[in-house]
Amino acid sequence: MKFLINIALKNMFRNKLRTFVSVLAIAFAVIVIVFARGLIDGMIESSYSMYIHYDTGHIKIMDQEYEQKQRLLSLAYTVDGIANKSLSEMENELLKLEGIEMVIPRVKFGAAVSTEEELVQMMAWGVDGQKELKFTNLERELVEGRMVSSGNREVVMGTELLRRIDKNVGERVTMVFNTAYSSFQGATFDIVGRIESNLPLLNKDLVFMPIDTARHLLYLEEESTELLLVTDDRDKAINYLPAVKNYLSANEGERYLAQEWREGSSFIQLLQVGERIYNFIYIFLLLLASIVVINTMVMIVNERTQEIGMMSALGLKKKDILKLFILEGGAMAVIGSFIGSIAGGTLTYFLSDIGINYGTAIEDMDILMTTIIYPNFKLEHLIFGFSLGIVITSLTAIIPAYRAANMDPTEALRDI
Amino acid sequence: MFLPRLVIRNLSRHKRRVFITALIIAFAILVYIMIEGLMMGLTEISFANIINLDSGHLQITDRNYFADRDELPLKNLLTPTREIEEQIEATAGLEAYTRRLDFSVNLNNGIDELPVKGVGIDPGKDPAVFDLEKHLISGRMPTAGSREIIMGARLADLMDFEIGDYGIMLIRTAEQTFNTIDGEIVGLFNTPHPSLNDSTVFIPLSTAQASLNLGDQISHYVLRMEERQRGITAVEDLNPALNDPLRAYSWRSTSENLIYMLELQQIETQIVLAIILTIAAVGIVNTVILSALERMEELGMMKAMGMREKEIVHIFMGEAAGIGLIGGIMGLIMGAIGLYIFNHYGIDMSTLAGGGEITYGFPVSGTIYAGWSIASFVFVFSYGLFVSILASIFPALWAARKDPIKAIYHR
Amino acid sequence: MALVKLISLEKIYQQGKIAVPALRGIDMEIESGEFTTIFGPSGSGKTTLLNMIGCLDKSTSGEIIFAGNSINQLSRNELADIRRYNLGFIFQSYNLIPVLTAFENVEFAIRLIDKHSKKDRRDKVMHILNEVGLGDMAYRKPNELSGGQKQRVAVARALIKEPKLVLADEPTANLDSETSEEVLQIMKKMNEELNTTFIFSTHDPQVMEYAKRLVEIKDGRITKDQRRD
Repeated sequence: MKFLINIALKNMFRNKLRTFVSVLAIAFAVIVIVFARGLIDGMIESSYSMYIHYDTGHIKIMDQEYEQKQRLLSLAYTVDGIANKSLSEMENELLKLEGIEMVIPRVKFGAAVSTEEELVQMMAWGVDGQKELKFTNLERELVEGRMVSSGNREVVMGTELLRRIDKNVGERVTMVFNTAYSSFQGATFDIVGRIESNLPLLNKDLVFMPIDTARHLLYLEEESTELLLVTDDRDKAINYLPAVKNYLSANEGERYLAQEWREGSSFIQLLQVGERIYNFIYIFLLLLASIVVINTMVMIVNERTQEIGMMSALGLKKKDILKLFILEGGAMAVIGSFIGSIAGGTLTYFLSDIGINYGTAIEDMDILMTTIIYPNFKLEHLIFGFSLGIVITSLTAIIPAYRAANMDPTEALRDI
Repeated sequence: MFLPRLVIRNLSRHKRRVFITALIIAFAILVYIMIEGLMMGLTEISFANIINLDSGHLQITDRNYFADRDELPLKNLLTPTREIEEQIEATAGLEAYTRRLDFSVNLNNGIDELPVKGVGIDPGKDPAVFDLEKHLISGRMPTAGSREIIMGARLADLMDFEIGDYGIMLIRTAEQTFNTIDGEIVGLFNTPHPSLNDSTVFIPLSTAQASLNLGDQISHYVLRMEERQRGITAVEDLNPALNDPLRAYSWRSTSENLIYMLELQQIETQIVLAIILTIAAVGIVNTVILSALERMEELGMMKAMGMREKEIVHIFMGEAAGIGLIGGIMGLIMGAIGLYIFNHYGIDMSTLAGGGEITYGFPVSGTIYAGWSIASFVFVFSYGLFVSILASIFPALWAARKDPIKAIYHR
Repeated sequence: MALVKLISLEKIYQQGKIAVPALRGIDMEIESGEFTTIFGPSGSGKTTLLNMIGCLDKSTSGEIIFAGNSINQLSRNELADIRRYNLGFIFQSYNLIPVLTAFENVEFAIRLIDKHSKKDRRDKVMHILNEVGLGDMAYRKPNELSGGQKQRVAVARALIKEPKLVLADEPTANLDSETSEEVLQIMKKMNEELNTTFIFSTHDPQVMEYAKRLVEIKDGRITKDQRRD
């Protein structure tokens, strides 16, 4: 085998230009694969984390009815304890379940600010400021002031929203809203923080306030519109879900729905289908690139007819000749994939800081996705591109190698 | 016709090699035609939906209003005058026009409240401009002067409304006082424009004006033209005639976001095309180099016979063009078959969205069909051919520059 | 005036770091209509000298004067033009274009000059193919011809444009003696009828018998130069 490898390597350098072009083709395909994977991974990762942070948590508990009416921000279907236990008791018990690290209550309701020109509609979230900072990436996006703290009548808003109501941090704002009893009320808040995010939801729709203030104003003491459970690992959330469901049904909580994050949004399901489809696209791309390698190998086989005849005359077995040519194709595959994964990795690495701006195109879409997508640089993608390059190219090299191995030695030698 | 004959003969030396190299180009073209076809279909239906249900072919509005129109303000409205309407009526290619008033509404069902868009329509003239009536799935259109409203079936479902129920519409007047309209729901519609179904309520114009204390002010005129293109050309006829702050806006300018999104998609399609064609280009470079290596002695002889380098380059470029041509034709045929299959079955928008309700911001739902145009076929075909020829130049120069002596005594 | 004049021609090949001298100062004149044979052992510089005269290679020093003009300063394209209009080549390995028929291979040469109408061209090609005895094989491809037939096509190709000078590098090396005889006869006939100048390189005694002038080179130098009548 070592001997065969030796010949294969020497053969590769017989015509450097020809080898170079084949290597180039594989390298290019691998660059595209490594980069595309990084980009898609970046997009998916950021979408997943956006959905988890601002929609689904790892597991979301809400009223069955509420699920269909989330858009209404209804206050009629809340989570308000279970059996004869209060909401705080329920939260504590959920926290004791395996894998659950945090229980985040959120009270979501519609609110509006009346300006001289118009009524600016917004979505208000009553939140536990400390928990939100811990769970989400709000800390990074909070560019001015601080997060809301409990007990105060204060709010944090997005930059675009502040612009629309023409207010700044430090000023006061009066908001109107409907309480749980459908009465129309107003309250004034201090603006204590400003969020600047490239997630349109955060930037122009959301206003955060302390959850106790929200409950008090809405007459929703000890109630939440939803509970988000945070587990130690989002991929294990599906394993922890049965325990949560058991807990609910054991406590007469049939009216509640516990949902794992993947079920929460059709967009996430779509992304997962997309991820699988893309793997086929990568293979397809490499197959196209291997056409170049096949062409070169076919020519090499034709060119070396006499040599092959000679080798079989010298007693080299079919299997050895097959190996010899696969090794030669494989060596090109290794070099090409290596160069490609390094170059693709470098490209991803640089763009992972700069990001690719999709601008306002995303704003109109009904999905949670940031306007700037940062490709994700991971060694995993380099290894994926590298291995896929080698496997696919070596597999396609079998075709011409097989042809060489099946050559009749006397036929092959006749040309001499 | 000596060169073409030589090129064809040379190409037929390695049929399989030529074929699979051409296959890369064919795939590039196939992928482009399919994506482009899908996008064209989506674009066409999107614009049709926007025009027929939302923006009409042309709008006339105050330019200050136009800038803020997404926020549904009640300032910079326009007061209809005979003069404006005469100008509208004088527009070439006009079919019908109507007045509309957009305003912000909080729709309340007694329990919950939802911000939606209210649209005041002229029940007499509106159906001549918009297709809304065709998409009514139950009930009827509101009658003039009444407090009757219609809304999307999905919205009604969300808020537990049925025909005959009263929806309380909380509005804020131009004087910043709050007012309510108890709208009787007389009709439900289901249009192919998702945001219309989800968050728009229609009410007779006069009722909206009265409740909002706006007198006879409206937010815009909407014009329906004989054909789409007229909407764009008529803007130029109308603008000089209109008094300043008033302006005419075509359906293209009212759907800026959609156009921006389509452009972005277009760029993505081009990138995909470029990636595959780059691989094709490497394939062509490879093929030229392999052919040159095989034919070294012939090339040497040709040079000895006094062929100039340029002439040898032409032979190789001709061969690359041949491969491009074969690939292009295969690609076009494959693409045409692909589009035929697309259109035979149609594509359900929800399959594209993985079974969900996501439409990526496109005002489209239900089944869509791919579009196609000779221009895009010609473009992608010539592009493939161009890339093939371009890719062959460097390796051909390399081959032509080879020292004739080394070439003749090759090996 | 001499058709070709070589003045202290030298050629040194650089092989890696070693300089290998192939020609070490050749002075020679070739008159129009001569039938010259250059002979000598392998590696003596025969082929190099032929390539120099054929404007395929440039000398390291010295000068080549072709039909009164020095070719030292000419560009690659100008050299190509000289070859195109004035020179014909015949190689040991025939070097026919395998995808073209015998007819097309010969036609290729006058295509490059391109001053004939289609019919003229056809007549001319058929005429010369008949001359070399291949009239009935005009539409065969090279792989359907024997070695001798291929070389006859090569001769026809070299002669069709009626060049001033034909260079033949070991033209009979791959042929048996009978076929060689036939090919040489054809060339001799052309030499006499058209007054075409021939320069051969060979170590085949049979070829030397046809020559009117014999030049021997050894180690890149002319060691013998004799004319016969």
